[in-house]
Order: sequence, then C-alpha cells, then structure tokens
Amino acid sequence: MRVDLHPCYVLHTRPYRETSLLVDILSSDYGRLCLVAKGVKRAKNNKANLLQISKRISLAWSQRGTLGNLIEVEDLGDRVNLIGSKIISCFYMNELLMRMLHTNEPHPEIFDIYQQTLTNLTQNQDEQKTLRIFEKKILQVLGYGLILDHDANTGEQIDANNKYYYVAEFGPCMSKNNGLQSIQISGKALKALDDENIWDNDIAKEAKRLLRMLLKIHVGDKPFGSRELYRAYLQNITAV
Amino acid sequence: MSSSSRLDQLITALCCLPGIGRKSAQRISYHLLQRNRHGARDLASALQLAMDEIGHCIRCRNFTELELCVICSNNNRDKSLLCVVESPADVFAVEDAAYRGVYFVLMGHLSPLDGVGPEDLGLEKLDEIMKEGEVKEVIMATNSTVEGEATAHFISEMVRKNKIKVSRIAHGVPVGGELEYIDSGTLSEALSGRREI
Repeated sequence: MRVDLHPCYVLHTRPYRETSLLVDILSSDYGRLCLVAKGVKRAKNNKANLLQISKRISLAWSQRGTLGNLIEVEDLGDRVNLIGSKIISCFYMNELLMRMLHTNEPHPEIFDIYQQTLTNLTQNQDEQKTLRIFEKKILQVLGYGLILDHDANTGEQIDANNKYYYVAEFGPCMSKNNGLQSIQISGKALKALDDENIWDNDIAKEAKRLLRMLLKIHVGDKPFGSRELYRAYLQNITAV
Repeated sequence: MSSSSRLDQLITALCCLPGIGRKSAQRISYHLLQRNRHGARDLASALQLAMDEIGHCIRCRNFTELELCVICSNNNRDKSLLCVVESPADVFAVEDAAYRGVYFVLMGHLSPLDGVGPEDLGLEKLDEIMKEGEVKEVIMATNSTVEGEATAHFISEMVRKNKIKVSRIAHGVPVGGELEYIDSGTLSEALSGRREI
C-alpha cells in the first residue's frame, strides 16, 4: 500500500543501522505508526533535517506489514519554535501519545488536538493548563472521557463550593466509593477543567493529580522520562 | 559456512563494525589472510590496546588513555572558553574550525523518550568545572535538533546560575552556499540571527 503525502508530526526518532532512522509519527489520516527512514543520515541526504519533532511535515510511505518505508518528506513551512520548557512539554505530549495510542489506528481528532496544543504552547499560553487540557481531550477521544459537569451518582450539577471524590472510571461523587481508586477534588477544579477558562495554581495542582490518576490506569506505573526531565529543569532554574 | 571455524569467528567478529555485513566481512577476512597478515596483526594489537586503555578524560569526558586528555592538559589552550558538544566526533569538527578553548563532551543529548536524562550527561562534572571560576564563557555547540536545543537550554540555565556568559553557536547559510538551495528552516534561522555589518 502506498500512502501519499499528507500532514504528519514526528513523535520520536531512533537510530537504525548506520544511516537510517526508525521514526514514530502521528499522521492526520493513519494515526500513530512507525516508519523506517532508510539512508536519511547520509551526509548528502537532507531528509533527516526535516524529521524533527514539533514540526508539521508532509510524509509519504509504502507499507506492507506494521512498519512503513518512508518515501518522501516535504517541509510544510511550519515555523513552530518551541523554546526552553516548551520543548520538554512537547516531549511529554509525544511520550504520552506513544504510550496511549496503538499503532495503525486512525485518530484524526488527536492530530487536530496535538496541532492546537503545539500552537497554544508557542503562543505562550499557560503551559500546565495547556497540557491538562491536552490530556483531558486525549482521554475523551479514546473513549475514557471525564465527567466534569455533574455528580455521577445523583446527576446534579457540580457545585464550585463543594468537595467531591473523583472515582476512577466512574466520575465525581460526594462519597468515597470503597474499593475503587479515587481522589478528593474541589468542584471549582472540576468546573475549571470542564470550561477551560478560569485557572490558578490550586486548580492546576488538583487537575494534575486527577489526570495523573486517570492516565495511570491506561499507561501503567512506568515513570515518564519527560516528567522527570521537567522536574530536573525546574530544580535547575530555581535552586541557588 | 567456511572451511575453518577460526575464519567463521573472524567473519562474525568483523560484522560488529558499522556498515560491514557478512559479505564484506568475508572479503576483509580473505584479504587479510591472503595479502596482509602483518597489517592484520597491527590492527589486532591496536584494537586490543585501544579497548584496554582508552577511557574518559576526568575533566572533559572525551576519549583518552590519559587521566587528563591532551586538550585539557595543554597550557596554551584558552581555559576561559568552554565549548559543550554532544560527541567526541563533534570535538574533531570544532577543532578543525580553529577553536582554541577547551571542551566538555556530553556523550549524548537529553532524550526523555529514550530514558536519557541530565544525570547521564555528566552535568554534575560540568557544574564543578564552572564553579572552579576559570571559565568565563560557555559556548553551546549541541546539534541543531530539537533534542540538541533542549539540551542547550537546560545547560544554559545551569551556566547562568553560575553567573557565567553563555552563548549558542549560530545557525545559518553554509560558506559557499547559495540561498536558493537552502531549506526554509535554515534560512529563517539565518534571518533571525542576522548581524550588523
């Protein structure tokens, strides 16, 4: 099967043999998949320059089994310039997608979400908020959407002044459900995550705890390299 | 299957070289056996010595059989200028560009998806060197990839904390290059990093 040029993002590259690369990509039409980019690291080949993360490029490949063979790369003239911690955020988005998505499953919505999140990062929007919304949307598209507007037991609207227990794979409720994993979260944080509008440090912390718990169910306990790097980065800039 | 198990052993061993497959390994083996046994013995002893004796310089982490490599121990080098590169091959490249300062070799770049973090790049040693007070400027010469940029940024924060000047090598038009053949990414870097003449 030959796949013609269409927009893609590179999620990760690994060296393969002497001059080739194994490239994990997120395609707008085919979802996540791995391509073999033969000979791209040769001195006269400039394809490797284009196979960089966070750059929107156009790729064409041929595919027989699970791995594809890269045929063509074209620059889409996309000048997303991530700097500093934003690059680490992009590493995190990539790591999350690599762990959440199965290969060869088309998810056009995820491609759009990824693209929008990168744009938000470059436009200097709140980094934490941008990443939490990204996580929320990814869970939603994959069918694990969060309930953020009503009590999962009673169906009543979430009250910003109440405290809730968010029970994994169930939703927010007023009482703790023994035996199921849950964390306490304020109604204010649930509402903020729902309407993606008001945001402060407390909400950021609560939203992070909630999404970590929910993501862990799908990605497992293995630590994220990018989260550790971000932590090291923060220590690096704050320590005297 | 060849006529000798020693020959098989040699062919298999040669396959560990980059770009050498079984067929090439076979050709090299026959060549050495038929025409150049002396050269092969020299190669074997050079390999043996290199593998046994070459380690890392305690200061710049480059490959050397000495405790302190030739560059770090050379008093004519400008010790106030420290160039941070990703690999020993980059040291060779920068040396050709008539650079006369000293180096720090990271032996990789930050790549969280491959499990490479700051602790794998010897940054503690780099911090120690900066705290000695001799270094006046750190030049970040990591690759112009997203991972290279992330590494440069991470280290530059560390350098700034030590109140040392930090700079990044320029990206742009190669010498002798024609604009119409340069990719737009490089050209946009060249434009944003333009300087007054």
